[in-house]
Amino acid sequence: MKVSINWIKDFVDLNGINIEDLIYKFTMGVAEVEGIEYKGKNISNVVVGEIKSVEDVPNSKKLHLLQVDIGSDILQIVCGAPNVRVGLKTPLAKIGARLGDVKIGKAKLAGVESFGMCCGGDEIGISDDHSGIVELDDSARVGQDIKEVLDIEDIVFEIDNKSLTNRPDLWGHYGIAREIASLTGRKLKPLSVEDEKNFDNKDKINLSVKSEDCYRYTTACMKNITRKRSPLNMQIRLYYCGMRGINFLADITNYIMLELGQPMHAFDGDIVKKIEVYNLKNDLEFKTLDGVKRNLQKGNMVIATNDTPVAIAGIMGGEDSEITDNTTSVLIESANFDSYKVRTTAISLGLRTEASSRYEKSLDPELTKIALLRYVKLVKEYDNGAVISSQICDTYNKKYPKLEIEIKKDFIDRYVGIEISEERIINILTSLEFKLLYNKSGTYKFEVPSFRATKDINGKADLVEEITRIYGYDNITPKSISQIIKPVKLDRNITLEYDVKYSLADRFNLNETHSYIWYDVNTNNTLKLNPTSVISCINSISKENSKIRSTIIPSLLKVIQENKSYYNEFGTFEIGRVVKSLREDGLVHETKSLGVLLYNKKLDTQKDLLKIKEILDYLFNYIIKLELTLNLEKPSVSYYHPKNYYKIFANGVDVGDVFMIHPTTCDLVEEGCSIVGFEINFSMLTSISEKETKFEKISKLPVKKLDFNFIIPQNYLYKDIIGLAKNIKTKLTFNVSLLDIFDNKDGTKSYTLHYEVTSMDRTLTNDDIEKFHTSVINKFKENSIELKL
Amino acid sequence: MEKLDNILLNAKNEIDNANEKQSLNNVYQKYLGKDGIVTQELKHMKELSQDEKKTFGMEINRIKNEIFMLIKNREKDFERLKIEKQIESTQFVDLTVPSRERRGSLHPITILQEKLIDIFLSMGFTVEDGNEIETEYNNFEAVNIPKNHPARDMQDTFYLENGQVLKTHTSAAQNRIMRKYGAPLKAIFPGRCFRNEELDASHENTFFQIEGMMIDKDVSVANLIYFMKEMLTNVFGKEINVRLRPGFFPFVEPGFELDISCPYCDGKGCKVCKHSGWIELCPCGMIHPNVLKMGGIDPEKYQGFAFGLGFSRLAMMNYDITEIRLLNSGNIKALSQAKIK
Repeated sequence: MKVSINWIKDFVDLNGINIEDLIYKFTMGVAEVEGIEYKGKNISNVVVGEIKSVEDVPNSKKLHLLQVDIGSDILQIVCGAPNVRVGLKTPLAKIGARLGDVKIGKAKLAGVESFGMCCGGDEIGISDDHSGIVELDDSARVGQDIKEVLDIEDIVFEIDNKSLTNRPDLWGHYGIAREIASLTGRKLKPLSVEDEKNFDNKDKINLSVKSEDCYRYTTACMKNITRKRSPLNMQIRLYYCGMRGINFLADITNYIMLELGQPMHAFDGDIVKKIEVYNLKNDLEFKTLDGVKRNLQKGNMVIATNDTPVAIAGIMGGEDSEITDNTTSVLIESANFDSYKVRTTAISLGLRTEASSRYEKSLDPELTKIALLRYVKLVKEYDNGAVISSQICDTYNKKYPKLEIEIKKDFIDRYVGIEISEERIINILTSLEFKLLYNKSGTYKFEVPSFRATKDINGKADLVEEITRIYGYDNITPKSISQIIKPVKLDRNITLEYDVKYSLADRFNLNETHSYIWYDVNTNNTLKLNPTSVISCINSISKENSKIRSTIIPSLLKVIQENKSYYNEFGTFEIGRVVKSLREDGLVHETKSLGVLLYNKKLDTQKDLLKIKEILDYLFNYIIKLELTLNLEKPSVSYYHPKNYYKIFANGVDVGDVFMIHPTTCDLVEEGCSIVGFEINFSMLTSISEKETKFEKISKLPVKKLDFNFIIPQNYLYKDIIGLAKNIKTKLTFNVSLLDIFDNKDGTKSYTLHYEVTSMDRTLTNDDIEKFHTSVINKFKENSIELKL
Repeated sequence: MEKLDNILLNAKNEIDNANEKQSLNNVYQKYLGKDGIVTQELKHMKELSQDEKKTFGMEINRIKNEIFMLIKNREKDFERLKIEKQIESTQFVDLTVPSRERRGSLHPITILQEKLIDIFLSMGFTVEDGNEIETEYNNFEAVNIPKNHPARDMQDTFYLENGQVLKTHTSAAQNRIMRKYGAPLKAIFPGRCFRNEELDASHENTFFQIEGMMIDKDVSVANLIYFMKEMLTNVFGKEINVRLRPGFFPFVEPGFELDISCPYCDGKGCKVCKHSGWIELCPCGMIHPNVLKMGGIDPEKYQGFAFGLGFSRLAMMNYDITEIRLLNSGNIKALSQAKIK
């Protein structure tokens, strides 16, 4: 919202106050100021001129030759404006005048010399009108500096609207002036309004409010209005604050909206004589005064007369009943509507107006009558013939309860952390029009003013805010706490995540990336991925980004695809959230997933997969510290390679899988490349309890070493063989390890197993060794595995 | 006497000519050894008179000592020469060549988050880990954003089919954490948040925040300022000033916008701070009594502060990243630049 300092000065004396300092104070104590404009600063040497004669310029259809009296001189001026006429007073820029970036010099137009320029509104910055020259009031004195006649000079600052969302009282200058009065310690002047007595004994207006969403509707009529244009100074204020002059009666509604924050509407009094407020029972087409046909929906609240809608409540009036140049009587609307109703209607119509954005903030219904009285006062002030032609008709259906808050000084001091004097507390709140009901030795009760009681102020904490912001947050000294500090241990969920990330990046040269929680369906389609998703977002940025992922691998494949051209070999990882299932109550079961992918431009299955295994071994042995087991299985996902796919078990619990990406997908990424990786349900890891580690007794007696060389058929995995090798029934103590694997030409493998055998209590005999040897061979024989001969 | 001088002269010559330890040893034996020349001369002593004995004795001792010293010095020379040779022959190695190029990288958010966690741990805060998908209740009602509040409009919030939402702020975890720990409480909870916003250089629909809460019997605005100042001074590694301005957020009362003195120009005014010397950094405030109540904490007994630091933005400031979209881009070339400056 834009605020004019000239306007504020109507209500607070700002003499002797530096405006920049004031605006800074405002930012620090009320709401954020986004910018300051210095209006009229770059306008100079413009005076009131009176046109004495008008002649046509030969060779020109448009131009006129004027003689303009500027008091000290009569100037010859060439002017193209259509509204030139003898006797018109208008701003005249003399030679040497500055109009913004333009400097006026002697000029020759159509061969005729011109010694200055008559100005349009846009040229002196008071409007965007370029249709003609400014028509000044006859009261302007010839030769007078234009800045003495018009309020061209002003300082306008813009407040960030977002910082006013909770302050319905700050959507007009009067409310801002109240804050400024409080910040500067000056008095807020009362608003000048029409005396209610002047409405006595007039006709009633037929007013029927049938919608619950209309909290209050206040209306009155005036007639015999002859003035068509609002005073220039009023138009300038409207323009400086982001609106524009339309006509006298409409301008005053806007003027009061900017002054009090109360939106108003002026209906042509000859067309709208009675008022009905109701929610539509059927959909309806309606033409608003901007000339656009709009589709109103059942339930939208409208203002109607004789069952014909004339306005969308709180948003915009209709074209048929708007003020025109023929209007001589007016029916004034000053109403209060439900904020949610106005907001939802405005959003559904795609029509947010100055009025609707104010109603959305929950305006004070007490304002409607004040605004109406102010309206009548202003009309009468600028149009002497205008008369009041009705009573004030006022239906007040929803009154907010009076709000009183008790607060103790102790509480304020404790909450703020410094001491603020009682005098200061009471002064601040009183200056903001909170009424002190009592003060019982440090316990105060305040009545909240109605304009703060619609939603903004609710309790003690709100009063603390009022006190401290005016007192100045800068005046609060930072203070440490007096609490005893206890040592804090970082949760293993978090430390484990960091430890894993550091290992992957530092030890295995992988790059961490972040990706979205939803799939990118386009990428999935391109790469022929069809991952599952158990839930979607109903208002996603696009249909292709609505499915919440159940696995992190497709996101990482996208990363591989987008980075592959920079590297021959690289790896990436992410620990991110996935949803694999819904819980019984329908809520999502969200888990953290660790995904790792390695890309190799040139397929080398053995090397790539062994690198993945190395990573897994390292993580499980040194970081995660759980026992890793891999089970060869068939993948349930079509984009995983059918041959090299394992389930990952941590201490026997299924936590994820190791895989190669299917050649179909790999080839789509890069012909002939390999992509391998694993995915682990990271959330589960911390819930699996670690197995205890204990030291084994070591025998002090001699150890016998035995080597065996077995021929292992194709379908055996290492872990099967080592399982057999360990599963020897004996009373002796032994250790077994694999010395060597050799690939035979026929597809079988030769394993050299190394046993170290001992006993805890006696020296081994040859017989012991012999028995042990036989047990091993028999164990393998049971599984059709023979010694190499 | 002349004879003695000659002996010394000869010895001197021979010592100078010795080029290695062995020949020096031979010289020693020749002069000072058991049957050495000097030792032989000493044997002649007894043939001399008392007076001569005295003079001769002094003289031959002098010669003996001098030869001994010469040999010792020559030995040291050998030692020095040997080392000099060694130094000469040692290979020079260029240590400015990197040992192992670090190719792996952590995401800038990970690096900064760890830094923040460390700082808060050191100030006694517990670190919690929230969800990304939350119930409407936790995301809104529990932090005093009732139904019909503009902040709940569809256009800002991603809704799922089951009515849950992608959390729009880390405040969504406040309720759960208050219920878990009760009061007093000191906790931070970093997390990823989502808002349905158009993407541009400074807006992302997926971003990180870090939320902090501190609740006790007398936690005050003054404490809030103190903590924020200390924390941010640590983050930026230089003295940071903070200031509060009024700001409206439903879950705090009073609510503030916290500005920091611009760390780039130390508040003097530059492009980053738009020549104001201040940068708007995070919303914060005293926790709204309704929020405490809903978290099962009695607002008549306890009070506290909360803040929500947008640390995607902080990461951008910290690493001079100009495009927020980079963070979720998966662009490894760009992301892996987060290295020691």
